[in-house]
Amino acid sequence: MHLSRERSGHTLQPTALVHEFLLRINNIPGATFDLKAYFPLASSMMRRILIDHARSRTSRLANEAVAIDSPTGFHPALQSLSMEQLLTVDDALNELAAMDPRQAQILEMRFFGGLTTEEIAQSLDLSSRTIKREWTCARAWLLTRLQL
Amino acid sequence: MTPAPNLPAEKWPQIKALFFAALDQPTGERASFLNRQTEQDLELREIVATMLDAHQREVSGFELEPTGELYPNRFGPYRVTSLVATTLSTLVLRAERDDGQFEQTVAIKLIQPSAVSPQILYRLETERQILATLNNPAICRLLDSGQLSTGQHYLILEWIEGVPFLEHAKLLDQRAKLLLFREICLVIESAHHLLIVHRDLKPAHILVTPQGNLKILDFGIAKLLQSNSHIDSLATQPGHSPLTPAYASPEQWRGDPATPSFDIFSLGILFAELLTGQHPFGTSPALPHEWASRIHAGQPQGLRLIKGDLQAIARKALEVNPSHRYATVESFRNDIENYLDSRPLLARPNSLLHDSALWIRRNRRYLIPLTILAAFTLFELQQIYLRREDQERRSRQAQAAARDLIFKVFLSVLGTNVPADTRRQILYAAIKQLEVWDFASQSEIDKREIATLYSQISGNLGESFDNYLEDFPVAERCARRALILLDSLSSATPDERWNTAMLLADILFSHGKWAEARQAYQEVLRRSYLLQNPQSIVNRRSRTVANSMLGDILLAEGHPEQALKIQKSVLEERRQILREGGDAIDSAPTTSFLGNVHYSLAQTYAALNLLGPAIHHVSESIANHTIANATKSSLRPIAEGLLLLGDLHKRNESSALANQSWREAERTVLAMLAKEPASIPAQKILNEIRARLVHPR
Repeated sequence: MHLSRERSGHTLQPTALVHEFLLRINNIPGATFDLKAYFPLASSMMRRILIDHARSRTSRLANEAVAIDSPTGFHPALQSLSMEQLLTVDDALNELAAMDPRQAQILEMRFFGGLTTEEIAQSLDLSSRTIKREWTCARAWLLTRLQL
Repeated sequence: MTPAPNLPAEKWPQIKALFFAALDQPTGERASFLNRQTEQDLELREIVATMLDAHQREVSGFELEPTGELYPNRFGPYRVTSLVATTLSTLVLRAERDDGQFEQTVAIKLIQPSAVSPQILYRLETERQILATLNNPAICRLLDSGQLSTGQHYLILEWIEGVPFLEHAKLLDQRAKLLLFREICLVIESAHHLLIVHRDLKPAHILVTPQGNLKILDFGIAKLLQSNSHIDSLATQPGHSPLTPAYASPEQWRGDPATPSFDIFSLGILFAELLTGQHPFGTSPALPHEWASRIHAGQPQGLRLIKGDLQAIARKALEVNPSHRYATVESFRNDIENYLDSRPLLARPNSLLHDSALWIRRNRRYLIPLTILAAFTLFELQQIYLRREDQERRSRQAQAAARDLIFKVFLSVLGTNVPADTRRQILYAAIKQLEVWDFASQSEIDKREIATLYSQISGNLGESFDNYLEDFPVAERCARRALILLDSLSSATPDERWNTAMLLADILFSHGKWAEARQAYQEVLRRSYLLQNPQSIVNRRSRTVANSMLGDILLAEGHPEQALKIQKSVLEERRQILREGGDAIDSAPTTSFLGNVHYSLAQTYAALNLLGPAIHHVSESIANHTIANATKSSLRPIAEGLLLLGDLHKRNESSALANQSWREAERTVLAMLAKEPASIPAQKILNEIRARLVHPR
């Protein structure tokens, strides 16, 4: 089952919402905020949100004829996936996290945070080269796991 | 398609090492290399082979070489020659025009998809039109802007090479410095005439080219929305206006709407630096808030290094109160010219003061402040984003989805390690949003979501038991609204309504509003009989909860005998459910509840002066909660139980036992505070305990 994920001009990017929200935290007096930690945190929150959203849409669509546009903001890699595949990605990430937390985090930041190699490198205090290398391996594993 | 192989986690390090080692081999030799390395372990071979195979595949979205996705090689007539700089959210590229029309070098700022919203394009286009009118050779011009098919936005700017003007000025004599500064003023003046305020003037933004020309950078890359209300709303949110700490005026720190005075102040600092070689407000590095205090204090010590009239000019430009400052850059510039021509200065006392406030009043309607960013940051862009007017323009569904996500984000944060105060603020922000949506929304589906969210938020704010976020009035408001909504929705189930009614009653109870709580619990009981299966275990159990609360209320209102009756019947009914196998004996919810019932009974017996049974029941309460604590933190009821036990011992003339109980209670509360330092209930209990320990008699 595929959901339509058109990038209309009206669609909001969830990442923007996360940023706005974290911006608000940042402006609350007394609350401290770690910019470097922000990217991983935001990515993981986005993942939770998008996956939850995907799950809830699945169950709702089973009962209702009316399909509500789900907000886009999915990384291009995820946009062409079906609902089941999307949930498989989530499972796969969990599996990877148990074996190689760093690679899982890189994947999460890339797909759900929409971050670039440089951004990920800076946030995790690693070189771009390391990130690219890890990405190569994680990618191969994920593609294998997803049977793409 | 090869089936996905099982990947035993222990093998992962080997898999990884082998994968990379194979990649280091030339493509044609990888298979044989792999075979050699995995003679003993065919499973390993299969896994790595599959991965190597996947490595070769091109899958959309899973591009191997991230640099490919970072930036394209062309932007229209411009060919990218190099990557100049990267920040967290921007790339700066250097590019050359190669369409044969003419030669031009440009800087391209490419904003990462994660950093920008689709609305930026709209704003950038308007931006471009405005900057065309600024057409001043001294201003770094925005030549073009656009969006790539990947969604990334870019800006094409004039490429400028130059030396920061302070560097350049070191070689100049004072007169030449002043003339240079005068030129800077002229450029800023021309912008002000077009009602554009720079807002971020600083040394790095003012360059002198090898040809000796002045260039002021990044004029108006991001433009804020046009109507005044946006300016005000943005300006009054602290921290939302980007500013460079060492160059921002006091009113800019305050978040006032942008006016030319911002620029005049910044120019004042630059003027002082130009003449003295150091920053007037301090030479040591400082954090943003330290700059803010220095600037607010209004004691630019560095000015003392400037002689005579020039010092007066500098002082006037740096007045804390904008209405005492030069009202316009023109008057600032004029005074410099006056100095150069040995004419009398405005800066000297007993000159006429121009009222900068007049300028603002005259031009408020048209003022378009621009923010200048050396590079976009995530936050500075996002602050421009989600403004209310924009939201109204979008489709209802997108609105709903957006708000849904906002709240999910808000609520999800409550699970992480965020201090209680922050969580409270977040919840308030969420409520505000929710109320707006509530007001604007018509559809049944939306109302459903809204009701659910009200309930969730209310639960978080009113569940003082676990969450330390007490704000009962707000929680009550949310719960009531949720209930009204659910009652009005045909799609809401009796169970949902019942749950919310219970939530409301609990909040009222925690708040100590006995009469209203009593009504609310009676309402809960009434609704309970409307449920699908009123005699089910679940519903019977729920009724015991409601009845137990009623018992507590009766006690609070001074009717211990009635309270006792109800509570004993609750205990009996609950034991009956246990006997029927409806509850697990040691489950946390069961033991917690029993702990609560025993506590209520203890209080009731105490009210009836029957200390023996009271002590028995409170001890049972502590025991139950201790069991529950293994699964679900129950430190608070344990502490409360110990406190009560101490009180009972005291009344029973056993001071030693009383102190023992109180001390244990204290230890328990301190453990609570260790986990959640901002917990209000914990503090309250601690105060109670300490009061008792201080007066042992």
